[in-house]
Parts: sequence; C-alpha cells; structure tokens
Amino acid sequence: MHRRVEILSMNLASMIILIFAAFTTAIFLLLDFLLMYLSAIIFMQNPRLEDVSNDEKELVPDFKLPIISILLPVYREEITLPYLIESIANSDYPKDKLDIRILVEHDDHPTIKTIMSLPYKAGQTDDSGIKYNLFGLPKTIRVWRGIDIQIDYIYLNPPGARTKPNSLNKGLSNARGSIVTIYDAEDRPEPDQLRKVAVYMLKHPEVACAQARLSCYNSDQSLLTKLFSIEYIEHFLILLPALYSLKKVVLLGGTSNFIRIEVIRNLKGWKTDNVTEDADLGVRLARLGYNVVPINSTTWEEATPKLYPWIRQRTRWNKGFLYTWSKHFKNPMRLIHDIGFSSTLFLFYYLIAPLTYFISIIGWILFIAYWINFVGILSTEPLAGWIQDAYTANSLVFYASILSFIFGIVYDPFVAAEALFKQGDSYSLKKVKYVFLMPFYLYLQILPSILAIIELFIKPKHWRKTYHGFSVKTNEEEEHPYDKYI
Amino acid sequence: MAFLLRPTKRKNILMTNISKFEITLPKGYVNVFKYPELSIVLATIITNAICSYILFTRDPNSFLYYGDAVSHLVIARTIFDSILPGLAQLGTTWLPITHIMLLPFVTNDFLFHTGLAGAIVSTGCSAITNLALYRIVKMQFSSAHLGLLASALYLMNPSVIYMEITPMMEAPFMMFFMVSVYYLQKWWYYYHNNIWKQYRTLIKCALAISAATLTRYEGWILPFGIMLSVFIVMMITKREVWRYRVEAIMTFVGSCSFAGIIIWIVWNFVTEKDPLYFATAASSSTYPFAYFFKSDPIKSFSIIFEVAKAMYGLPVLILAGLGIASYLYMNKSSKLFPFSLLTLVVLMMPILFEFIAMVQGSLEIYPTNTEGSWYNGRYLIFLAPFLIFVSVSLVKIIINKRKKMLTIIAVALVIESWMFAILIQNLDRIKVVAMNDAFSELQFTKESQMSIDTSNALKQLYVGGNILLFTESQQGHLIMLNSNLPLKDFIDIGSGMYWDISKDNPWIYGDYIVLNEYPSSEDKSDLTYKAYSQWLTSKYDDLLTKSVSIGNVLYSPYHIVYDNGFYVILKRSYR
Repeated sequence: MHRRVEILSMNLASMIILIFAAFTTAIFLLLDFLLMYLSAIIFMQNPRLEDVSNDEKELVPDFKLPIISILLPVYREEITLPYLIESIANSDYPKDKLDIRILVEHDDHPTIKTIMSLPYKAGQTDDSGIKYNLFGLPKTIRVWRGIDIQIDYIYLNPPGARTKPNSLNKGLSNARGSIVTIYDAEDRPEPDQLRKVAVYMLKHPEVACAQARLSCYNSDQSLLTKLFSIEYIEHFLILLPALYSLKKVVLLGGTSNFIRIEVIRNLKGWKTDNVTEDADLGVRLARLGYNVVPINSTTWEEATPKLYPWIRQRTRWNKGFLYTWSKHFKNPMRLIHDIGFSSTLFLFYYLIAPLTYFISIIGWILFIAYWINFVGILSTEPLAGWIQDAYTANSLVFYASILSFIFGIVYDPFVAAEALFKQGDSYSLKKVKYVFLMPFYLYLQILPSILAIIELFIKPKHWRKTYHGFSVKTNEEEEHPYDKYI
Repeated sequence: MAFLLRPTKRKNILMTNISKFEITLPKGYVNVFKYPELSIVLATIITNAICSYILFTRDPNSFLYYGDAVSHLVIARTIFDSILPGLAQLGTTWLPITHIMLLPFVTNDFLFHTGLAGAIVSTGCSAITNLALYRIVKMQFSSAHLGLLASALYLMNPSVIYMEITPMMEAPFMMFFMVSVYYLQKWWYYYHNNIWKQYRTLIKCALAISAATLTRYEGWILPFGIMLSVFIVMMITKREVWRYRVEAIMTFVGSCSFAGIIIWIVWNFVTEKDPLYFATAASSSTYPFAYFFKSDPIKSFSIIFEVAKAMYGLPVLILAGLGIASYLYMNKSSKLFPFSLLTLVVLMMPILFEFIAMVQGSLEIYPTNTEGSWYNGRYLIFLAPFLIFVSVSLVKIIINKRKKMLTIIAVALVIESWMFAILIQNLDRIKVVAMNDAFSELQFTKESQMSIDTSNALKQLYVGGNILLFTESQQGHLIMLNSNLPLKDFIDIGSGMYWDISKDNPWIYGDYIVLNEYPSSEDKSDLTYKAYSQWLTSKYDDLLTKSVSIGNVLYSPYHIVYDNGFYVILKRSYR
C-alpha cells in the first residue's frame, strides 16, 4: 500500500518524460534497425553499385573525355595537400583534360607556402614551374607529370564566412570543365577514378551526379579509426547502394562527388549557410529529380584518429544535418510531393539522427541505471529510485528500455558485419572483430550531438574545421603542427 | 579449385540417375514430386493433426501427460495473465524460447486448457524440422526422392510424433537443431570462395544454434561443436591460407552462436543476481539415480541403446548400423571422408550431449517399475534424424548399383523397419516410449491425480480473491491450469513481491491456500517447498487458529474446506 502511494505521489512530469524518452528511443532504434537492415537485405538481393569495366574505360579515346574541374578547397592543410596533389597527378586521366583548382584563403600562409613548394617536391629545381599574380602570390604551379594547377584565392569578409561552400562557389565560377568534382586535402583518389567516372557519365547522360566510395587509409591507426572505417563501409557499401536500388534519395559525401557543371550551376552552387553543404546538395538534387548514382571507385581519406578532432567533425556534421532538416522540412508535404513518402521518411530519420542519439542515450542510462541498482553493483540513487518507480508504475517503460537496449546492442554489429563480409578483402575482414564495439561508437555520438544541438541555436553557420594529417609521420622530436588544437 | 565439393563434382562420385524410378501418376492426382517441400509441410501437418485428433478423442488430457508440458503452458500464460504479468514470468529454470513461441496461442482459453496451443506450436516446428531433414538428405545424396523418403520416415515413429504434438521443448529444439545442421552442411557442401556467401550461410546456422541454446540445455554443446566443425573445415579440409578469413568467420559467427548462452546468463544475472542461477538453484532437477551411470560409459551406452531399441525397434538400429558403414564407404575418398564423418557427428550431437551428461552424472535415463517404461526415454527422439539419415544412405548405396528390383526391396525394407514401431506401438500410451515416460513414476501420477481433484474442488469452492499455492511448482501449475480460474488470482513462487510477502504472512493476500500436506522427496528439493515448509511443521496450527494483526488490520485464521489426503484447501474464515 505504502509502495503504491509512493508511486502515485511521484512527480508526474518526470514519469511522462521517462516514458516518452524510453519509447521514443525504442521507436527510433527500431526504425533505424529496420531501415539499415532492410537496406542491407535489399542490397544483397540487388547490388547496384555502378561500375565501368576496364575494357569500357580503355575503349573511350582520350580526346572524347570531358574536362573535369577538380576543386580542392583547403584551409591549413599544409601537411596533407602534397599527398593529394601527387595522387591526382598519378591519375590516368589526360593532363590536358584536367582543370585542377586549389581554393585557398588569401591569408592562409602555411598552405600557400606548401603550394609553392609543390613544384620542388615534384622534382623541379627552379621556380620556372610557378607563375605569380599581381600580388606576388602563385597563380599556377606545375607539378608531377607536368600538370598545371590553378590557385584561386578566396577574399571574404568577415573571416567567419571562411567555409567550404564559399570556396567551392568561388571555384565553380572559374571552373571550365563539364564535370565538377571536389577532393578534400586528406583524400587519395584511386588512379583510375577520374576516367571511370568520366566514361560512366559519358555513357549515361541522364546521370547528373556520381558519388564515389570513401574509405579510410589509416584505419589501423587507432580504435577510433577502425570504427570510423567500419562506419564508412556500412554507409558506402550498404546504405547508399540500397537507397539507389530503391530509387530513393542518395545522400552525397563531402568529397568525390562528380556533378555536371550545368546541374550545379542550375542549382546556384552550394549553400553557403549550411555546414554540411553535401547533404543539402543531395536533397536538392533529389527534389529536382536529378539522378545520383553511387559508383564503384574508392577515394581513400584520413579518419580522425583522436577523439577531440572527431568530436569537432561530428559536431559540424550533426549540426549540418539538423540544419538541413530544418530547411527542407519546413514544408513536409512539398517534400513528399518532390521525393516521395518513403524517401521523406528516410530523410527525416537520417537527418534527425543527432536527436536520436541524444534520446536513445537517455533510454540507455535509464536501463543501465535501473539494472545496476537492481543487481546491487552500485547504488545509483536517487536516479535509480525514480526509474524504478517509473518502471513499476508503467511496465511499458520497462519494455521500451529493453527494446532500446537490445536493438542498440544488436543491430549495428549485424549491419557492420554484413558490410565487412560483403567487401570481403583483408582490409575489411580484419575489422570484423571490432563490430561488437559499434554500439559504443554509435553512442559516442552523444557528445557531438549535444554540442550540435547547442550550436544550432548559438552559431548555426560556424564551421568547425576538421584538422587532418594525424596519420602523416612527422619527426618524433618535432611537435606535430596540429597538437596545439588538441 | 579441385577440392571444392560442387554438386557437379559430387554427381560423378555419388549421384545416380534415378529418374527411371519416377512414378507416373494418373491425371487429377497431386504430384508430390513436383512440390516436394510443400508436400512435406502438408504431410507433417496432416499426420500430426490426425494423431492429435486420435489422442484428443481418446483422452482430452493427452497433451498434458508431462508435468513439464503443463508448466510450459502456464508459464507462457502467466506472461500476460498473472498477478504480476511481465517477461519476468519466464523465470530462470526453463529456457524461454518455447514459452515465447506458445505465447500467442495460450491467449485462447480452449487452446490453453487442452494443451492444443502446444500441439500447434510443435506441429509447426515439426514441419520445419522435416523440411530441413529433406533438404539435408537431398543435398547429401543429390536426390529429392531420397529426401522425400527421409521425410516420410520421420512421420513414422509414434514417440517422435507424440513429442511433436505436445507443449514440450523437444519439438522447437529439434527444429532449431536441424535448421542449424542444414545451414552448416550447406556451407561446407557449396563451399564458396566468396567469404560473404559463406558468411550468409553460416550466420543463419549461428542464429539457429543460438535459438537452440535458448530452447534446451542440450543445445549448449552445439556452439562448441559447430565452431569446431567450422574450424576443421576451414583450416584442415579447405586449407584456407588467409588467416583473416578464418578469424573473421570464427569471430562473428562464433559470437552469434554463443549469443543465446550469453543472453541466458545475463538474464539470470539481472533477474536473480546470479549468472548461474539456472544451474545452482535448488529447483533444478535432481538425479537420484545418476550415480548408477556416473563415470561408466558402457552402462550409459547400453541404457541409451535399450531405449533406442524400445523406441525405434531393433530392425531400425540394425539398418542404421549398416547405413553408417555404407555411408562412410560411399564417401571413402580422402576428400569426402572428413565431411561424412562430420555430418554423422553433427547429427548425433544432441544424443552425444545426453551420453556425456549421463557419464558426467547430471542426467539419468533409467527403466522404471512399469514394464517397458523409461524415465526420460523421450530424449531418444533426438536420435531420429541421425537414424533416418543413415537408413536412407543404405538405400542410396543400393541405388548406386542401378538394380531396380534391389532398390525397390531396399526402400520397402527401410519403410517396413520404420513402420514396425508404429504398427507395434500404435499410439498406445503404454507402448510408446515418449508417452510412457510421462507415466514412469506411479507416485507422480497419483500426486497428479490428487492435484487434478484439488483443482476441481477449488473450481467449485472459489468465490473470489487470491489463491496462495503452497505446493511443488509443477503440481501448482497443474492446479492452475486445470481449475479454469484466471491465473491472475493465483500467488505462487513466480509472483514476485506478493510471494515474498505471502510466504511469511499468508494472511495478507491469501484468501485461499492450497497446501501440499505430504510432499514427496522430490517435492522437498523444490524451492517452493523450502519457502513454505514452515507452515507444514511448526506453524501449521497458526493458520487455523491464530488471528494476526498487521499494521491496523486484523486478519482472521483459515478453516479447511477440502482435504484429499495430499492437499488441503484452506479458506479465510471471514474477511
């Protein structure tokens, strides 16, 4: 009797919150599970990663290939930039069909210095490979294979507007190719990627955009990079191809997306107010009915091996997703009309993910605190007391928490394993033993999610720079240039 | 890859064109050879339905002979119909999958009280088991006809049929076991260089194993056995040179196959605060005769052989012996021999578990006082797929001789041997080993009858309020089921805080008390007995004479309203 009175007298509001949290968690996780696993199953039945065979590639003569504008937006990338330029230069694409443009802030002196050093790194002994503009800054440089690279300087005021989409729009205005692509400084595209995509887009004029796969070359550097690379394999090998197979909205990655120039100009470039301009572009392409395809070519990039830069990166991504969600879901009926109901549902879920992480962690805390207290390992009062009251008052909360917990534990390792076995090479199979840590990786998102939600209200357009180059070996006695940011 | 066991390769070694034996049916008949899998499912359902009907009309309690069967039904029902409904009612002694499978069907009162809920679940499981058996045989011998023969044999043993229409754990376990064997065999039979295809097959095997480990404790040997098989096949037989491929498969598939065991240990930990509660609790079975077999494999083997003889008949066992020899002879080449041996070992795994458990002293199968009755004899139904497989392999070796007459004789001989059991035993509850097992203890039967009488009396005496069960758990379940009263009116050991309070202060919640006055020695090892035994000894009179004041409430004593020598029903004197 006393117990019942005690339960009834508990704070009704807190109980409603608990019920809501646990249920929402369960529903979100259930939806997540279904979406991911259904997509995995569909992908297994109908693999739709577009590809071009070697024969097809070779059959197209060089003169028929289109000019590709490669936009390289860089900011404080003095360590990684040379590697990117070298890997692009190693491409089998004809050099006269390349329009490579480094987009650099006018006052980013370390990067400019690195740019000026590139001809020397490429084997030149004098500065004949560098042409200067009126301000004495390098205008073009000649690197490996005699490839000329244009340097576009970004002059923007105020400095807060130093964002990637601003740079890209500047690069777009000068681009002379019929296909535009973007590489980040830490990227290493496969040598045949440009030719493969160009041939594919020649053969398929209806395709507006092709997204290459992203993988991590430093996946063995730390536990974080291992989990990061598993996440990428899941995303690019399972999720995107499945969405493509279903003819749903294909979300773009930040780099290695090849867009026809008339399409991107028609879309008036990248949205400068969005910190995930790639996600926004993917939605806009889908809304206007353009075809986006995932293509089987890999760009290797650096996974952030340390927690702090990873949090910075995820905070930006999460904020960008929420921002994109807020923009596109202003009129959901219109969105349903544009991309269909199921795509809208998926997009809603995908973009709102930061909020899901936030909610689901509440469910987990409830569940774990309850059981820790129940088993008697640790007294988690008063939290556990409230939870127990909520559970006793309404067993539905209890079941929702269990559901949430079980889905959280089960679904991600399964989807990850599916992706890793699907890829099936030593790179991925060596990571299978880490898939059981994926739920914890998922819940590591909680901090960036909270930060993103806060930032969304305080400074929605602020671009948190992700620092790269941690996988590049420096002299051990020398301080790593990015250590000061950590 | 020369060593790959592709069907085309095997065709040269093993397969024979048996199309000349196909039967031409007149128009209007359904050709089972055209839809073999559908035919098997339908045949299993029809056979089980007919047997259920026969047993049910003969005795409406036919599905409830086993005390365990009653408990399974009651546990499933209490998940939603209980004073404290919820998943916690699954408890920690019995593994949970059967109860979860019964859940949708026990919602119906008729299906619950008659045990037909269990017949439906077990029949479904039986159909899938039979399908898996068909596929295994078809794959091994490259013959759908032999697969159909195997499926037909599976429907010919009365013990197997009985266990697959009762609410027991054997049918679901057999289903998960056979499904896992099928996928394991599919994996090594179509061994693929594409690791993803291997994974896709093995993960299904692992999930089936996991489910089996959550169905019966016999299943706990399967993850070890299967992982050992995977390791042997990958490293030794297939000579995988890439360590990471083996490592990836073993890590993920291994973990998934152990998931059931881990889940159960975690469940025990979170509900009872002891991860090994299921093994250590006093409610777990005790084995008074176990010392007889302990460390004596010969005795254990001879008992198992005797029960197998009683269940299947000697002709089947002789055929099986010949079948094993012929199967190994057919696959004597060095490339196939390890697989053949593995197939036989894997199919025997549950019975191997029973054998090991007997030698280790934690299981007993023994003859009871009743003629032809074997306590726990039902476990030998796990041998059926193995016996069928080797019987069919005998037919296969004769088919390979390409003599039509010999083949017909072999098929007839095998069918006749398997029919022997059903012709002799004929669903007779004394002759069918699995049915007789339920009657193996006369005392138990008497106690059960007393429980039924008590529940009938309770049904008539009950006018409302809570009924406190101070009885052994299984007998308590029988009273709950047979009384036709809502289970939420009962308080037993599964009632959480209500039980915790009632075992010391029955007056607070118990309007009625059903008390087992003369518990058997087996009952005394039960947790419930230990909790209520004080009311049988020092404090029995308190119940009848003493008014108790708790808080401001004065509770009256009880008076006896029913007594049958075993059980008394006490009713609160006034409210």
